[in-house]
Amino acid sequence: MKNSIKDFIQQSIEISDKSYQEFLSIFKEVEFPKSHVISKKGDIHHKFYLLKKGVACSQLDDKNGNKHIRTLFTVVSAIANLPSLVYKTPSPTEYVCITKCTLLEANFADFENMIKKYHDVSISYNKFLQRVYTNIEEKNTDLATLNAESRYLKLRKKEPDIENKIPLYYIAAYLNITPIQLSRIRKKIYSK
Amino acid sequence: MENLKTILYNFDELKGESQEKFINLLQKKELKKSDKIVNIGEVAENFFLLTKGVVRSYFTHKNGKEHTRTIYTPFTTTGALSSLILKKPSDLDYECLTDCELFYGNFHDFRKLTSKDIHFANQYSKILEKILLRIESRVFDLSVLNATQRYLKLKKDIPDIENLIAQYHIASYLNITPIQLSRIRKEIIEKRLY
Repeated sequence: MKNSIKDFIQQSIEISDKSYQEFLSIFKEVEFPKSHVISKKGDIHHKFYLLKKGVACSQLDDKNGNKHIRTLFTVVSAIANLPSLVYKTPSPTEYVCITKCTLLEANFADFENMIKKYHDVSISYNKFLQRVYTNIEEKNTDLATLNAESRYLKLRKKEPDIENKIPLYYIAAYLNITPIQLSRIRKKIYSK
Repeated sequence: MENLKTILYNFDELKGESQEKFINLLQKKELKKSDKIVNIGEVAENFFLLTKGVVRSYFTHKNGKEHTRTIYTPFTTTGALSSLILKKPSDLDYECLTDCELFYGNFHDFRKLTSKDIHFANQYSKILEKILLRIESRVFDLSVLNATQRYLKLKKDIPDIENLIAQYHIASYLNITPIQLSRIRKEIIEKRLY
């Protein structure tokens, strides 16, 4: 099955059945309605989530009080503010369900204990952190080098279905442009 | 070797035999101001541990303007991590702003050790978590602090920053124009904020 939790943790590393069962045993399934706030700005995170169904995002308030979307989470993604989990600092970002979501929830402390014992899960965590890092760096470079239209096309390539899943103003906030700019870009592309 | 000890103390997952293996990976390098540790377009092979001096990474726009992405001070990891992980050319140059002392090692040899020794895997996660904290707080600073607050924070982290790097590099790091920066500096001197 594509996009399963097992594929998510097995990206470029084989996980033994025993490790996978142990990994699953630290989670419980939860469901949240659309617009549900998973965690508020200023919270110290102890739990993290794996998104099984739906779309969620992380938001940051800028100096003018506008909400800017840092990350759009689609299936399967890990959701949490990592510095807050690791260093027990308040999270600067808010995590929100854009649609109705099904998530797996676990305590980070349980996961930390697990990676001390299960080498394959520890390597999987290495690979996950590498992906998080290269994605952020890519996004930073895109914001510095690509114009809004190219960033939009890139998002559409990565998430072809995104416009059917979430309202356009979330997409504009993610691309760091106004909804009006976004609708101009879309009009231009579709009229070609 | 005093400086290497500080790094090993911070890498606390690696003890005994694992620590020996790690030390065997490392070589010391002394570089002069303006030397580069990674060039743009280069597929990086080595990771670096900065034990003395200041390094910056920067991006060059099509119009030739430089934008400083990160300023590294001891004791920290540096080098083109995306290039190492993805084996693709680096988007950034990494340049010594002062004379520097670094320890470097082959990243792929390090990665092999993470598959053989769980302590290396766990240490690598800790290093990545710290790097992610660094970029997360940079994004947070840029979006939440105003320009004066960002400048004061930089001065607190690197008090002699003005002697290390041109004003327009500081401005580009703070995401402001050089004119804004000179206004901020004037305001700070007048109000004795610093």
